[in-house]
Amino acid sequence: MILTRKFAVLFVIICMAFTSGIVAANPLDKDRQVMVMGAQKDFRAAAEGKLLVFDTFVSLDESGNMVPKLASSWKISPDGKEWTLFLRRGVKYHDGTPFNARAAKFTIERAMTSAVWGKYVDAIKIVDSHTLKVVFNTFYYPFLRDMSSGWRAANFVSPSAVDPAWDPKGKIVRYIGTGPFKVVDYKRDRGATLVRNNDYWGKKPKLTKILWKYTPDPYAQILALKAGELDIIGAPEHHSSIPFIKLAELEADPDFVVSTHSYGRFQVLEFNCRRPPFDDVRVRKAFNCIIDRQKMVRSLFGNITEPSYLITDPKFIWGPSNITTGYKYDPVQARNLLTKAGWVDSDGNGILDKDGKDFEVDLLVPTGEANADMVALVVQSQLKSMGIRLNIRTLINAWDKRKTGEYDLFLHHSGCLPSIPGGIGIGGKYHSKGWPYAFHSDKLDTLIESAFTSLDKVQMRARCDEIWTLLHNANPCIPLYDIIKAVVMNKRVQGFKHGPTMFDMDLTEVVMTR
Amino acid sequence: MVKFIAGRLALAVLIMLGSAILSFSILTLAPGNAAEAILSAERADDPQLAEVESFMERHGLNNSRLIRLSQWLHMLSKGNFGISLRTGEPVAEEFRARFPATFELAASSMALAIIIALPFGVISAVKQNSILDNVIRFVALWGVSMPNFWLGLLLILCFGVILGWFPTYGSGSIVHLILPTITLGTSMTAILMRLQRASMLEVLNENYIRTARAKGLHEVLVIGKHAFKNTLIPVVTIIGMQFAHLLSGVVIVEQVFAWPGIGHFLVDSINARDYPVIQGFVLIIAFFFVLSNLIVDILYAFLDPRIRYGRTQ
Amino acid sequence: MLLHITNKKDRLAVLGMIILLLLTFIAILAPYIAPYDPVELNLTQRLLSPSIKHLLGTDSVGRDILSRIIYGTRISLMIAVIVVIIEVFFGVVVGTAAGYFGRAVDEIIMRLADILLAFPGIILALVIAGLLGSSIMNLIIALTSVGWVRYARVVRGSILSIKKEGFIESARAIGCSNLRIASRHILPNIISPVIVLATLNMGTIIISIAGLSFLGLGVQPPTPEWGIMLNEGKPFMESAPHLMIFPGLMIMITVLAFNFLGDGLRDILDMRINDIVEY
Repeated sequence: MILTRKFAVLFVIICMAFTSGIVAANPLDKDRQVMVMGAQKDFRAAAEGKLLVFDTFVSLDESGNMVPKLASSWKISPDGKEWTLFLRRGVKYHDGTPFNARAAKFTIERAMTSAVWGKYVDAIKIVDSHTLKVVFNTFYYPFLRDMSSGWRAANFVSPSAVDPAWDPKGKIVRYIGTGPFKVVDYKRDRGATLVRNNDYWGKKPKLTKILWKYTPDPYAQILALKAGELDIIGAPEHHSSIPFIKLAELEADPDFVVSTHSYGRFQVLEFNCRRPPFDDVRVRKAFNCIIDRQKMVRSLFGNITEPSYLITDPKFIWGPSNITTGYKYDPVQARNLLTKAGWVDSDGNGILDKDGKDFEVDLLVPTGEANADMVALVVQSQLKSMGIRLNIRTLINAWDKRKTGEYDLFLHHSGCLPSIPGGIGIGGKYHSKGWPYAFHSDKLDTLIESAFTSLDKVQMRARCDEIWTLLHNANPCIPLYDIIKAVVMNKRVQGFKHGPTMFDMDLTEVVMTR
Repeated sequence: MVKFIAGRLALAVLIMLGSAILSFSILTLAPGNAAEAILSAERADDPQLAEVESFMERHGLNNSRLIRLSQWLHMLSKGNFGISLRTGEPVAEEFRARFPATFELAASSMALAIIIALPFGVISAVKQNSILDNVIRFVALWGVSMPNFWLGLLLILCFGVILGWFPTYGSGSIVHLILPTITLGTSMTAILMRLQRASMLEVLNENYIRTARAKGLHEVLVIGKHAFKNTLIPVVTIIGMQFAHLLSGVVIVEQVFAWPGIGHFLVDSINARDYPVIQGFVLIIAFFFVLSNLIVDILYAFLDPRIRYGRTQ
Repeated sequence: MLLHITNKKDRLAVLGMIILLLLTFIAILAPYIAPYDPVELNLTQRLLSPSIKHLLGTDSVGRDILSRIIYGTRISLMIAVIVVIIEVFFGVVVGTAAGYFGRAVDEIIMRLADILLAFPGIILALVIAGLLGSSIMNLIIALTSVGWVRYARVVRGSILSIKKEGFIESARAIGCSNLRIASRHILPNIISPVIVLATLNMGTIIISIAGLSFLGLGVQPPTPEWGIMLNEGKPFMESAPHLMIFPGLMIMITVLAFNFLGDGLRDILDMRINDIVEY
């Protein structure tokens, strides 16, 4: 009797072992659709995290066209001053508060407390329960676009989750939005737990849970990914948070999948165009000819990214699609241009000089730019071969120097979505209200100011063409390569898709396999 | 005695006030604009001039330094350290949220140091000039000379990457704590070990030890009961003082292990030029220093009869 | 003085001395002994393991690690020496003033010192270096701004004990000028504690320089500096550990040498360990 009991127990154990073995062979992990996501920012500090919890009025597609989200459609009056938003019906915040015109008004008012366009708004009128009219005192083209970005997304918080409730200036108490995931737990500088919003108005994700783990150091992230502590890294960051040089290594590893995506953001070196030597367009042009981007990119990053030859990605709706020939590597032309500009090696010390002064320029690198250290070194060595001395200065306060103009070259990036790309907006890089020491001209200012003042798309495009031609010829910067966004995940994660902007990720189809 | 403590307290208050002014003035010599750094980090793009201006306006960054200093001192007097520009949370709250992690690390390092340093320090002194003593002394010197950031990297490489025994970053469990504790605790262990040895040697030369030995007391009893007990006074006070030091030594170790403590947040805040946080954190850390010194002073007063019976220094 | 090599400590002190002499030679002769240019990149020779051609291998952009370490010796020692000289100068001047004049001057200076010492040194240095921006100059400012206080305290302490012995009064009685008293009677007496403190302090300073550079708040890359090399080597920990092992080893050896020497000197010059608790 006792013996049979023992056998029975053994039998059960063996059965369990078998079934678990069978389950292991089944690729889909039915019970645990939980993904552990490594993030270099605290959950509340990251735009990417907000977009998982909050929906915005619209989102953008890859080229910058607006796609309906909480606003199912919108209308702009012919003079551009009246925006009518038709809101999606049947949407509820995670706490059950209905999303309607009153809530949307609260959101816009909340955004106005910090947004530049706040002062352009005259009135917000509730037309009916799901229609809202925003009256501007001027035509402000980027309004909805601005509202769609990740760093404004927290404005779409439930009005009852701020303190005091319904006060646009109130403090956010809990992260309650309308998005596909709900926050159930948040620990500062440690992480957050998100669960699926089963009442989501759109397509529900398959994942039931996301664990957001704060892992500030990219190398620590990679080690943790390898140790199996994380499933996916790089997804909740803007562009190149994982150093490119590590990507090749990870790509070669059969345990991981590396997925890269271009958001049309280029690494560029901005010139200080307001003082010698770069106040001379010939010298700027020469520099664009000296840099061998192809060699730089291939030797440093292999095939992970591509060199770039234009100021801004032409794929954007208002991008430089009219420019057909980009800057290119041409040392002979560079030499000619430099000689014409008066830079020759007259004292035979291997360094070009003019009026008795050696050609020596400063490159400012803001601390924390991924890949920048190595890129700067390559630029330095390529310039050296042309007889130009480059001093690299990596500074925490590089931003201040940008304002005071204490630089010759500044490592930066080109503009991309959701703003109007390429610094061609008012206050953007190349408008005189933008970077004080970037390239400016009165003509350019006038063009930029008039570009987005009418609703006529043909006219807008024509003005953009004119802006890009002028800018391209002015050589305001040295575009280097595409700062791609790289996401690395283990084999359990399947169905990951990059989002339309670099603040987004598309987790709808993600499933965890065994 | 009362006079002594009152004097120390008054001094501590004076030092705190001086520290408050100093930590404010460090920031005024700093070039840089919090608004731009924070806005551009937030949105990964250039903030527009108008945005920067409205940010400065909202946070009172346009006011003159003197006004800001007086505002700050006024806030401090109410126990308010201001609001972080980056997170919008009160600085004191930011500190409180991260302090447990740092404390955990500092406390475990201190525990490690005490467990290792005291016995080995005693052995080293008792067996003075033996091979064991020489080894211990050499190890102690090595421990002081070891840059902790390098030690941390080596430990990660060895036990995290190659052997895979411990996680390489982060916090949350005992296993997470081990490598950072060793990293932070090594120099502390070395300092304590040297101190324990030195004070033990001093005590062993005292008359009462000779008397105890002459009485024929067992050596273990002499060392354990009479000598060791008497070395504890300087050692314990040093432990108290060094604990505050540990809280600051933690900065680099927290960076190496991505430990979510105050040091990590401070470095991030320096990068973002989040002035209220930098000022507040530096001041709170200074406060811990002053406090631990005060406690040590008063402890001394209680332990040292010369002070206890009224003579001040 | 150093020739009394009777006990172990003295022998360690001599060993420290020899290592330091060697490091000094390396620093001075760097351009002659470094096999390669320490900042020259060679993108075809990246991440090479140690070999005959590159004794310590190459880094992520193909620079020779041995050459960078050799030049790094120069940078670290140079900055540390400058920092110590400035600290000693301010420390001695302020400490002497406090000890010599006593009373109100002493009180004010020592309270100021208390305030400065209330800040953990590395944190203050971190904040200053971080806010001023990274450069060698700012690094020196950051380190010296707190570092001098310790010297001032030690100097003041020694002067107070000299004062007790009373020969300053006698010197003054026979009509010596303040300057003469300072140079003839005071300086010789404070010189040994200052030397011991400075030697031990060199080690701490070298660790601080490397530490701040490691955090990106110290010396500018591409300067060959040990802390920077460690930081640059960190990403390649698994695939090319030599990138972070050699610079760290170099820091450790240098600091160890200073501590050997300082420890030995402290014993020889008979100072109690409690006088200088190093951190």
